[in-house]
Amino acid sequence: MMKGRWLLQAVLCWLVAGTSAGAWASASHTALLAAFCASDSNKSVALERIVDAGVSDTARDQAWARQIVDAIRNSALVCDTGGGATIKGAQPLDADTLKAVASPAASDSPYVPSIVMMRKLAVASAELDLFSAQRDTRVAAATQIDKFFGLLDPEIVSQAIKHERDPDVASLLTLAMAKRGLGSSDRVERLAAIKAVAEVPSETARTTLANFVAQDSARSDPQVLAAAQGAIKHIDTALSFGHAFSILFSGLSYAGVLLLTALGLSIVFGLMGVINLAHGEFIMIGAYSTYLVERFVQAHMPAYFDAYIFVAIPVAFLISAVCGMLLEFFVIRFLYRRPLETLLATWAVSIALIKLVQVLFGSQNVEFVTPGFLNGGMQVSPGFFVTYNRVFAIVLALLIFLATFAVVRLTKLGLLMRATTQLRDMARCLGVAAERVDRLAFGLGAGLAGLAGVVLTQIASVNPSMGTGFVVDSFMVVVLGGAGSLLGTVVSSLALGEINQFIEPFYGAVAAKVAVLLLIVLIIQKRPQGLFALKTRV
Amino acid sequence: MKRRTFLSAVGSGLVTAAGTTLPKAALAAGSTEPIKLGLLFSQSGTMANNESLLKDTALMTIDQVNAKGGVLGRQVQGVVVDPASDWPMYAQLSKQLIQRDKCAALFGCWTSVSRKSVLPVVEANDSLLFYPLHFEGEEQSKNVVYLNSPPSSSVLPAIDYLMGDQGGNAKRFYMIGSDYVWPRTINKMLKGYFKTKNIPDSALRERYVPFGQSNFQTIVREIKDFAAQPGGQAIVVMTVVGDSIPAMFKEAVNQGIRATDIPILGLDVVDSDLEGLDTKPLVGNLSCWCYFQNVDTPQNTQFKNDWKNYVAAHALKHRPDMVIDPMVSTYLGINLWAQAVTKAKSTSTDAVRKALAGQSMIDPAGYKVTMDASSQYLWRGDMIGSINANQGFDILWKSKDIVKPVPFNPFTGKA
Repeated sequence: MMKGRWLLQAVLCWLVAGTSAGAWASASHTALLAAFCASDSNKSVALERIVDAGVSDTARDQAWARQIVDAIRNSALVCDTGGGATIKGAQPLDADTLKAVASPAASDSPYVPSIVMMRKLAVASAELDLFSAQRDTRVAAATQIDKFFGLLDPEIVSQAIKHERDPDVASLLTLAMAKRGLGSSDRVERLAAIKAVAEVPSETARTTLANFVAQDSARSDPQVLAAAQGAIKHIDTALSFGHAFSILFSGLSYAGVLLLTALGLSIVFGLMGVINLAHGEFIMIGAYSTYLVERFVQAHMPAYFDAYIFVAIPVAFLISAVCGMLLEFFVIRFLYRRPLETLLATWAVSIALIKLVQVLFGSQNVEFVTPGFLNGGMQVSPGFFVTYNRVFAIVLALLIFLATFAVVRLTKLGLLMRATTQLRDMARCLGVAAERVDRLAFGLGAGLAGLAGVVLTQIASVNPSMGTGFVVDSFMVVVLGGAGSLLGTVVSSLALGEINQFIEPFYGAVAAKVAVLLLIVLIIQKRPQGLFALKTRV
Repeated sequence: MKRRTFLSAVGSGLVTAAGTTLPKAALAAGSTEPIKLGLLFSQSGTMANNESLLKDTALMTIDQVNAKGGVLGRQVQGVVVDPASDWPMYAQLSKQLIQRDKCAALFGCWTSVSRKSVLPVVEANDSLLFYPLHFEGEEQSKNVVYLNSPPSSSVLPAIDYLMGDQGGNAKRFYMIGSDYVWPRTINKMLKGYFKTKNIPDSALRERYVPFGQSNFQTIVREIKDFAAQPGGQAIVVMTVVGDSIPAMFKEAVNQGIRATDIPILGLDVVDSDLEGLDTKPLVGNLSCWCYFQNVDTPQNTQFKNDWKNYVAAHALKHRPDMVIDPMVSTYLGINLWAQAVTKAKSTSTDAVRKALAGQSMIDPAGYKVTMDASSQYLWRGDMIGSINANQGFDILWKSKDIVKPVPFNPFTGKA
């Protein structure tokens, strides 16, 4: 068997490469794999040798090493007892020749890399990428190598620096090499390393220096020690600014979520005086509408997949608004000015909606594929990292608020709405179709809740009972802001969000919640009408 | 809020209870009435996602037992209620199951707080609760059968692994949990354990978030900060539960944390928690259980097939290709109960309890699990899993044999 395979390989290689060098390379692949697969082998040394092969000149070796490293990373490499290996997948490949083979025996399980090995694999993969033709790939690879500078292979990296034409990539790699230089015994090299590290302040830079200062070799040299301590101080200053900004930012993003969820309620409860406990379920309906849109776009227009979130905005608004108007037509309109009955009825509706969605979609969390542009985030300054989904939430909350404000303040519908809710009888005397206005206003409120649902798909988990948590927060915001005042809703959500996030880092999330609730109790005692009360003559 | 969920739970509890009343055919077929088992799993609220899986596993296993002729010549029937993730409801419904429905035994609960709320009820009524989750230990009631491992045999091996060479020599630990008994006890035990390993208090940080917390911005930022302090590799020991798990993972990924930077050991993370997530950036984060679905045994293939067919046949909303440890525990529990009843020739609590001691079977993970003769804890194997790109776990390490469960941990008192 083995013999036949060798022969086959040799013939294949001869056919492919057409030279004896090809046959030699393949034999070395076999040896590299065998070294990696041996049960008592040092996997990281074996990996280094595979990477060495990958940065050699032959394109075949490069492609081979790339595929092997990826396979190990994805725990897809299955070593068999005979010393050979297979790459698992839809079409299993022989790891040596990369030719299709039958699936490996069930008894052989793939090699699962440990955390330590995964770090080495990350560096290995990045080292291979350093010689890619794409600039972006090289930048990403250099960043990765800089992060795990302790593990880099100095020969490969200096070779890459020599070849590199792009200044950004080269400087990143030089920085990584410099960090390694901290461990050197030469004072000049160490000072240069400290300087290089301090120039790019970050959490990892601080860790590097702090660990360095703790070493005896650093303590024995006062000049190096002073330089390192100075650098730490410099980094700390930069980081503390970053931290202050991040607290502000997370307060802002929490406020954005509060504003989004409360806006609809501030119309329904604030303007119309309806205690709608099913408010959270409209949020949930919005989220599930987004889910349907996502599925639809994925099935029919995969090219425009990332845009589904924008398609979902009007769809979720309409679906929730229609549901809201139906609720108003069948339930609420018989109950105006009877708050206790409204409360009970909407409560029942809320439970019914949760159960209905549970029957239709199941009770598990719904899977969303986040559009590409909302994934990840950006390092704005040292210690200040902004995630795109939160920025999206803040911006959308602001836009939706402005739109709502415009509708209520500037359009005829808004005027009629305000008139009806303030003095219903007088409005009707003047010919306002109060019933229709009520329905539209309720629909608007429900639709806004639906919009909150769209945004929340990117932040929170979506399941049938997701709305229950938000309804309490929404009432809190509206009551604190003052019923009927949109501006009050903004101010109170901003205040609650920021206060919550200011307390959390120091006393924990539980304490923050308690503090915020106590604060609301105190404020409501002093100002039962809320922060911004609507002045009417009634 | 409390009353709201309470009412909803009562409503749905009645509806489901009414829905599953005796099918007439079952009555006509057996000469005697079926033996009833109470299934106390939430189908709404924050735990619904996970607990509804256990409810359906229990019903599937009961079907299997019935297909083999039932127990003592009688059919077995599951009585389903919905405690709606509301802890006091578990107590109330368990009382109803025992007293009104005359259930022979109860299977249920996910969180420890729900078990603690059922505990006085089963003790007062001298019934049996089969509990399928791994938990904090520190409890041994003659009315509870513990089907999963206490921390000494699941959490500590994983921590040891992470502190070893292969795990990256973790020296500093950020413990983040939901605010209730399981995370707090686990962390208390860990602190005691770390003390014996000479890890200073400054290398530990302990944080709790409210149930259902979805905003982890501050926590993740603090983790990054913590990891940047000197003193060695930091890891996160995560004991948040329910919806907080995907939320925490999402935030960590968005803020750029990978397992290679700061590994997260999620003690309550199962495959179903990864359902809504893109797990590519999560690859390498860890969890420890007595079973992962990627284990390669004929029993496991059988179990997974049964589940797939059951999901298809009953048009359930669950993923047909996903099986998690607590489901296996539930399955083991019902089978062990059936074995014990057969041996005891009675369903009375006392007889079943006596017959249970020493019962064993081959579990889907391939171990011969055995009920401890005295503690009513199940001896099981132990595994560490590493999240892969396909929303599942690869098995990084597994124990050679079943591990002795130690209900009361010596480290807890040392903290």
